[in-house]
Amino acid sequence: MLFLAVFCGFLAEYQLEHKIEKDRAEELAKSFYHELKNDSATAVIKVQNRIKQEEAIKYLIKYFKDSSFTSISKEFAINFAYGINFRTPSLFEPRTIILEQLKNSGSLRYFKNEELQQLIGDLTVSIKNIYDRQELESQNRLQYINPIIIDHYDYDFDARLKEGGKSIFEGIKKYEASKEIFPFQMKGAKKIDRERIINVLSFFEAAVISSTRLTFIQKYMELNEELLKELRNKYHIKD
Amino acid sequence: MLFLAVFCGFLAEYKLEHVIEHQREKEYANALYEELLADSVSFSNKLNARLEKEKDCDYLWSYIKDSSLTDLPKEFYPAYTTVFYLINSYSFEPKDGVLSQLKSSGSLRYFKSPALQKLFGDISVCINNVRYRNEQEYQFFANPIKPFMLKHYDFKWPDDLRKRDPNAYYLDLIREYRKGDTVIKANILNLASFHKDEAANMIMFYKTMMSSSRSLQMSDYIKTNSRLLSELRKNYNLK
Repeated sequence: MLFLAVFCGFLAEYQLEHKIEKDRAEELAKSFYHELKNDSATAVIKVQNRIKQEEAIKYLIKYFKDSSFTSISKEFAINFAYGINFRTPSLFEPRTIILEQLKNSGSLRYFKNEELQQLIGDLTVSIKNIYDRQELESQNRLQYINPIIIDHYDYDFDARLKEGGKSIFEGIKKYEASKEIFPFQMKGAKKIDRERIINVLSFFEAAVISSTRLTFIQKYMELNEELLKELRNKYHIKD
Repeated sequence: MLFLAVFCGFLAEYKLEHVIEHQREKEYANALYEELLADSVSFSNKLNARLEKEKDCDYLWSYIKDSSLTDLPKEFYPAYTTVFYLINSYSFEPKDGVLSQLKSSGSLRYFKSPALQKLFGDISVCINNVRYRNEQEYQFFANPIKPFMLKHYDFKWPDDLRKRDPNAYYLDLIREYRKGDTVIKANILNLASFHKDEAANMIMFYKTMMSSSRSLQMSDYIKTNSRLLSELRKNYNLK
């Protein structure tokens, strides 16, 4: 009888451990799902911002090819801001707090599903790739783009956009929508090396900005979507 | 009777685990609260200092653009120093010791509230973004500011200022210097190769970078910090 009682206690504890693990897996799955869901919305916004940036750079390239800098169009000034002056709108910083917790604390083992584990591994790689790409974008910006801004951007125009305490983003949006024209003068217009700038911008647009979007952010979004689907199926999570 | 005893033991263990988890949750909440609170105080000091630095950027920009660089007024070198020489005093480094511990140990799961979990993800992203901006600012200091300084900044000026109190912080020494009547003379070195337009644009580029960090990444961080503090207060009756 004594043996049976102890054995039953042991069985109960074993069962309890299973239950706790299952509960934890469900809790983590739910938190992870919400983390991914938030990020999928952010990624869409970042992609839209990147497309806008790419279009703006293409406009600048065309302008540098065949237009005059004595009287600069309003469109050029706006595209200069969206294309090379702004950096934050295109930067994507995925949320990884639950993912890191899963990895660091050894809680990944709660997810028994192999496909899920595989997807989490792939997602980790794709996030690292995004970080690497954004680091590369920063290096490119530091080396090639910032000097163009420092040499040629008109900060009097910038100051007018920010009049009344507006942020640069609010300022440019308002300016874009208005019929007003603020003068924009290219600094050092005489020493502009058109060919070099065209090459720098073409490289920045094609090999840096759009390739991050088309290859790495796109891959992240696909994995994010698959993971969300898998988590929904496996843990019956509803939006 | 024996079965009942074993069953009660089992129930007690189950209950105890809950109690321990709840206690840990409270301990972590308290530690995290203290960490975030300390950061919000440090943030506000950095914010004021950065606003002062932005004003110095404006002063320096308009002075360099419009005034004679041969006979510099007393106000020039303090601004020249805060803008170009003092970098680390202005960078805000968020603390994330407790948050990292929560992530690494898997203890985030103690916090069941979905609102809290979302805020943990948000604050983690905000911290990464602030660090990324710090890195960008530092890179800009490394190039082009540092080469510019080595060419045009007179390091005799901070050296003479330092003699007033060898143990004080530069920011405090400059504050005192600005209040007093003494003038420490210094010039812009290699004035013949000093390009006003380029220097002025570099200052504005730097100011834009700093004010963007302040109004975007730092502002997002402090808003999330404040939301998290309020959520923690609400959930754990913290004062």
